[in-house]
Amino acid sequence: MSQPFDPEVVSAFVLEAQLTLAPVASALQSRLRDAVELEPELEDELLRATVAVEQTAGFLGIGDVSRLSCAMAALLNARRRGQIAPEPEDLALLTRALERLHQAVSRTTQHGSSDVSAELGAIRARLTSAAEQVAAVAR
Amino acid sequence: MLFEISLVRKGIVTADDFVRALEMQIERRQPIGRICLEQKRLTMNQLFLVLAEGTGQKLPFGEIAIQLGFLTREDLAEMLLLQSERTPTLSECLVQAGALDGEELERERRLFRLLTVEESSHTMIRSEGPRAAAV
Repeated sequence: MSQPFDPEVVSAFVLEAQLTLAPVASALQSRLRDAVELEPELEDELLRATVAVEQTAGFLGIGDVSRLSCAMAALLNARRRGQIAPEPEDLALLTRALERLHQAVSRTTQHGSSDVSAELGAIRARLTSAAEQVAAVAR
Repeated sequence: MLFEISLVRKGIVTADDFVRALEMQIERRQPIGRICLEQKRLTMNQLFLVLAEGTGQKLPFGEIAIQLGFLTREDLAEMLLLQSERTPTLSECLVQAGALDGEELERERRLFRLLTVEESSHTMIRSEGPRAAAV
């Protein structure tokens, strides 16, 4: 099995992830507040941030952060590829998930974890219902 | 891989064992990004930039890191070598998955090498013609 990274590397991850997520989180919150649609540039920026966080958290074995960012990236990718039709509720869902992700990153220690199940469940439910709609259309 | 395929063809391991061993090998292959971080070839900031840049692109991680000027080709070659050294071979995975034991594996490997040498000398004779074969 892989050797765990030293706490210094984990701290560097926490700092970098916070720096990466903070501006995107604040941009999402302002769109939600002003009831403005999520524009493609911001969606791309969010996807890039979540993928970087997801993969690094995966290397470091930070399961909760990796799982939640992976689910967010799956939803963003599905929207981007046109596999699911964008819904206005996605912005609220992604904003909530990003806030939780930011929180989970901040609480990360080498053995620490956060409860991300509510956001994870909400994203899975969104993806499942979209998949069911596609299947119903195909029938 | 040819050797392991020959084990399936001879019925020594099943196709399921082969797939399981392949999955095990893929699972145990450490990502290059992780190795670069561990070997201090990339900073955390550079790692994030490479991963973000690679989103939606088909280029491998190492190529993006070179394009961004974070790694040289030599660095990448060294990291790939480390990755390969740390990844168990397919044969090792077959043994670990319990598809065959180490002794059986070694016996089959010796046989395979013998047959491969014999096959390549036949090919050489065929390609060089009857005169070469007569010599």
